[in-house]
Amino acid sequence: MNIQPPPARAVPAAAVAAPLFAQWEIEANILNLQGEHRLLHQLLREFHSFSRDQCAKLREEGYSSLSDLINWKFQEIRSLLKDLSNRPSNRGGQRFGDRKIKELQALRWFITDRSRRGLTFDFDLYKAEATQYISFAEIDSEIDKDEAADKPEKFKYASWNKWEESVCIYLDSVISKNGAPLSYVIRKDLDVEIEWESLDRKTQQIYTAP
Amino acid sequence: MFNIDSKRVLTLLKELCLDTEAETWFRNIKCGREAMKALQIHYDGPDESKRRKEEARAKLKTIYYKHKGTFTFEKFVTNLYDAFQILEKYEEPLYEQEKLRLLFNKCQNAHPEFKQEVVICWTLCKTFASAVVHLKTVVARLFPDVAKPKTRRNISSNMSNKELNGVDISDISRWFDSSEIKKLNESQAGR
Repeated sequence: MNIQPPPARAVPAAAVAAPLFAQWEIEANILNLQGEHRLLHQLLREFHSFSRDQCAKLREEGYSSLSDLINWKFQEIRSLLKDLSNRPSNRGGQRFGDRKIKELQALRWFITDRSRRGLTFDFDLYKAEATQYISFAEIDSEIDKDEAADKPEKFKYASWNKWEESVCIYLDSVISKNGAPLSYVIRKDLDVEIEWESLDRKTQQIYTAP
Repeated sequence: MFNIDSKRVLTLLKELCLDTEAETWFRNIKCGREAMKALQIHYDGPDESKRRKEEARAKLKTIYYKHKGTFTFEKFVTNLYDAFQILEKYEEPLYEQEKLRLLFNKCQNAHPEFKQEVVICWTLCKTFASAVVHLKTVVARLFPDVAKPKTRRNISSNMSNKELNGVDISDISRWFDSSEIKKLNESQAGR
């Protein structure tokens, strides 16, 4: 994924306290966060108003950059953050409210979706529609539970076209290990003249997978 | 990850092609993507596509709607559409006008009102889909479904009356004496 974070500014120690910098920037500079690490810190601190301790806890758990959020499972986020919330602070606990959990799930959904579709991380788009992504994340987690389509019938020479189509439909309904529909394995070559943006989400996923 | 997914697909293909002629074409292939490609090359290659196009064209030549009980209007349009789809898949699609011309020319039902409706439809409908919808309504109005006549019953279906010409036939494996055989023969004489 091509993520272009805002350039890190080299800050002299004397300037740290200057009002020129936002709080998240000061913290990012102190922690020397660069690239995707810096961008995640900015999103969580500035846009979603996570506390400094909450960000530190996520980094401690191994989620310090945007790439770390890709493929993090919807339910695992809730279970980890709930677990951390229930733990006393002297045993590494950190409270995360329901809203914060949902925001993190939405951010994970957005980043994973963009990555699976071969699109760049669009910071402005995310900010503009962040609330919607909470619902999208929830809906997608339900879709993942859906059963696959019926298995195709046995091969018949006379009905090759229908058989091939039924195999594609079946594989479309099965989710692969990388999150794309399993039909990516049997995809045909894409027309070179086609515009990527005009393709639907599923097709983009199928043609982004290896 | 690709290797795991590829194996899943290969297993599925093996299962679907087991004991069929298709399994020969990917027997030694260990990758799901390659296996499907092998099938596509063999069953959907240039020769096969040519054959299918010829089949579709032949179907378009021979298909007609004449309101026979065995070939309904629904079957007729489905067959037409199927042939159009095949030609489209193999990059020889028909123009909408050509599809309409085929549809109307092949509607050869002699019913006067139906003929009239075909002419009206020709002027009104600009697409194949809209023409089909129009004609389907006409067919439903002019030729409502009538229950098929019951087929002739055989002697084996006579389970309630287990007697034929005064002979008990409830157990056909029992011994029939000569007089019973004679009566049974008499009962079959008119057939």
